[in-house]
Parts: sequence; structure tokens; C-alpha cells
Amino acid sequence: MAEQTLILGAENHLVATLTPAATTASGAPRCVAVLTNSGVIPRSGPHRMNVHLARRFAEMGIPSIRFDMSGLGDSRRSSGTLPVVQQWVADTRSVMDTAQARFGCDRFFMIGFCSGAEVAHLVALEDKRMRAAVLWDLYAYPTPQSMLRTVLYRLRRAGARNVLRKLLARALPMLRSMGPGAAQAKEDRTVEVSQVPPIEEYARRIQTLVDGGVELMFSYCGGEPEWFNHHGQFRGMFGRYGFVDKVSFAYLDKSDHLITRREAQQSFTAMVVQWLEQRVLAAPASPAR
Amino acid sequence: MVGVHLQARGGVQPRARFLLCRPLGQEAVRTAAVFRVLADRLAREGCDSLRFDYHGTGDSPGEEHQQSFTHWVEDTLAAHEQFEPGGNAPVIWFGMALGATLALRAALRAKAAPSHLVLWEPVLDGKAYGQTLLDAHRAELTREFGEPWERLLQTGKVVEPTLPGDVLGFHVGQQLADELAQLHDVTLAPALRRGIRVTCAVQVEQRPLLAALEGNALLKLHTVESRTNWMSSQAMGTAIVPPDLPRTLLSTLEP
Repeated sequence: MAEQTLILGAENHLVATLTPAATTASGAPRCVAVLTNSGVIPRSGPHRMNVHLARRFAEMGIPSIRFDMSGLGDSRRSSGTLPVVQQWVADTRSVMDTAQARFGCDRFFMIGFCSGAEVAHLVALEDKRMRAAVLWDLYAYPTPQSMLRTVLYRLRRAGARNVLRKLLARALPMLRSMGPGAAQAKEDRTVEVSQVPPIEEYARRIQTLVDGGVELMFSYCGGEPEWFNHHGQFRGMFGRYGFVDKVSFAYLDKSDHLITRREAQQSFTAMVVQWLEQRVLAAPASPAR
Repeated sequence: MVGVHLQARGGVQPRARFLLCRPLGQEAVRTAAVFRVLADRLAREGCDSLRFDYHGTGDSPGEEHQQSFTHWVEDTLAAHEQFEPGGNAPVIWFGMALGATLALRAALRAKAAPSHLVLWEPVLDGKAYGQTLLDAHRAELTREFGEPWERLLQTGKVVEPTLPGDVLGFHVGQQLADELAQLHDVTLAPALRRGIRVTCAVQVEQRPLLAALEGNALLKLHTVESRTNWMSSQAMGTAIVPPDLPRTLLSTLEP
């Protein structure tokens, strides 16, 4: 398989690697994969996951483009004045233009790791060519059970006496936060997403995508016990919204956020491949919304 | 191989050409921004640079289990030959960690030797480096999961790392593991004997390992001014380059 790395974009400031499909089926491919940075990790992805995914997709007959967003990896900053996340959305659409011209296909899906997931869902909201996305460790919102589990985790980690002292100091705000309708995004997590939207705003975005036929796979790691800490949290967060039964969800409890262990990498890849086969490739190739 | 060739700003004849040799695995990921910042700085200073991914790393072809120190030496020589088309501009090699050790090894074999080697915290003992990788793997997963290592073992979230095996998210194959185990008594002396100027930056506790060579007119030893654990995701691929790094690199342009 001959990969090609090139410079593209209106300002020639983006660096991307194209991986063609390994199979030689006639006609345009069913879809094209878009892979990009996770935080400040270069386009090869965390532990080279994007490279492995690109080559796995190629075996499945799916070409891909992996690229560095403005200011990351090998790509230079844009001279434009867009806010950074909006610039990254524009970058993604720009590489989709290149991939579409190269592969002759206007159906894309994106694997979004962390901040890449933020970009993926925003691109899908703006660009009808983005038909599906994997959102890895994107926003999570506390639920009563997740908060209880967080307390138990802290108790185990720090010892009962220390935690009790801290709990007493925080008792009042804690009680307030557990009140009905008070679920707020937890913002002290060290991730590379820009700003966590209120849950109602995020749910509205997801509903819009689902209504437009975009396939979404939400996936969370088990390495953030104060952030997303049990399988049921997904339904706890979004159960009251109509989209919850129309999206895919997986909790990879033995993976950390960066998918460090080989077994976790294999689980992630298997999850993505299964989702693609069942929810993306199996769907009729309907025109973009 | 995939590489990025950045030309001297303004399209001028370069003052020098820098071949930038990345370290291994997680360190390569976490220093990517440093390499880019260095290349940008060199371009502003009127120098060309080439940074590249060895086979089986980054965006280059190949898989991790095929990696080998020997092949990477060949890759370094191939990058050098591609980059060094003749001309008067001196060719300077810069390497970090295992990339520095590779550069040192390759410099002895290059038909046209680089005029200067800048070695930033080279791996001088492969066994110790392997142990550091294993320790860093445990520390990283302990931090990532927020649980003690023993508990992670009990819950099946981790297994003890080994070499060969999976370390810090990358597979280290049998050949590379063997080569690391056999990498010891790394010395700068052969490069100096070949007439290559060497600037070597080490942590203060490593200086005694190089004491025998102090006084060699071709050698400049530098004590690294800050400690960055490039194996940890805590480094977060920082674009904050240790300030003594570009300073040391640019000092090679001085007569």
C-alpha cells in the first residue's frame, strides 16, 4: 500500500497522509475515514493508533486521510483569525475536499480521540458529508451514581479520614450539586477539549446529528474514575433524550484514556470495525443530508 | 520513510543543514512539537532541516515488531544521503535520547561524515534504558488509571511489562530488545577520532561517564539545565522547548 504525505489547504499549511484502499474494487469507495490529532499528539495518533487504523481500514477497502490540524504536528498555524476549534473544523473540511477529489467519495466518517472528537461532532454539524463519527472520551456529565462511585473511589484512594475531612469542607456545594436538574459538566479533568458545553446544549447537538442520519459511536475509557466510571453512566447522562437508543455506545473499562495497552488498542480497533460493519457500511449509501 | 524538509527562510543558501533524529516510541510522540519548533527556529536562522520517521515509527511504513536499531542506523544514513547533496553548507546531526545514540552510531558509517553531532541525553546504556521504559510504563498506567500498580494487576487492567513486549503503548520486538540489551559502553571516542565535533548534553549525574574525554578539543559537554520526562504523557507533547536546547544547537553555527 502506497501512502502519500502531502501539503494542502488554502494556505498550504496542513500536512496530511493519504492511505488508499488496499483492495482494488471498481468504483468509488463506500466511505473515507478522517483521522487527526488527539490533543497535541501528532497525526499518527496516540501510540500510532491512527496509522494502525488507517491500514486496517485500507484492508477493508476504506481509504483514509490523517492530518495535523493547524498548529499541531507538522501543520503550521493558519494566518486566519478564527477561534482555534473553528479553525480545526475548517481544516477538517479542507482535508475532506482533498480526500473527496482524490478518492471520488463524499461520504466520510471520523475517528475522534478526545479533542478530535470535539472537532468530529462539530464538523458533522456543519458538513453533510460527515456521515458518522466515533467520539472517544468526549464530554461526560456526572450522575448521582457516578458521583457516589467517585466518592467511593476517593475514599479508597485517600483513606476514609482524609476524605471525610474534605467531604465536610465541601458538604454544602456537594449537596447542592446532587439536587435535581443540577447536573453540570465536570470541568477539572485534564483533557484537551476546549470547553464542555452544558448537557442540554450537547444533547441538542447530538439530537440534530441523529435526526440527520449521522451514525455516532460514543466510547469511554475506564481510566478516568472521577469522570466516567461505569457502564450505566451513559444512559444515566442521556437516558432522557430521544437519541440515546439510536446511537452506539461502548465502555472500554480496561483501557486508559490514551489506550496505552496493546489489548486496549485491539479492543478499540475491534469496536470500531464492528461498528463500521454493522452501522456504517451496512447502511444504504443514501445521499448526504 | 516520511520526512519533513524545511528550507531556510527566504529561499537563501542555507548556512547549515540539520538532520534531526527523533527518539523512540512515546518519547518520539512527546518530543514531536520540540522537533517542529527547532526546525522552525533553524529556518529563521537560515538553516535547512530534515526530520523524519524511521521505518515502523510515526507515519513511515512498517510495523513496530519490525523495528530494529540496526535498521534505524540505515534509515539515518539514507536520510543523510538524501539530504546532503553536496555544497558548502556544513551538515549537522541532532539527536535526542535513542535518536542521539543512533546518530552517533550512524556517523561512524556515513560516507560523508557530519561536521558536528549534537547529542541530547543520548542512551549510553541500553539495559538501563530498557529498565527506565518498564518503570515509565508502570508509572504511566498508574497515573492514567489513578490506582496503585498492584491493584491494577489484581483487577486485570494491566500486566507486568516485559522486553520484548508492549511498553508505553508500543511493541518492542525481539530484535530491538536484544539490541538494547547489548547496547553498553557507548562512547563518543570513535566519532571524535573521526574528526567529528561533538556536543553532548547529559544530566549532571551522567557527566562522570564522559569524564575521560573531557579536554578533547572536539568535544563540548553540556549539563542539561532542566529535567523533562519525555516518556510521560505529563509532558503532553509540550511545545515548550527547554531553553538550553536551541541555544546549544545554534551554538554549532559559531566558528
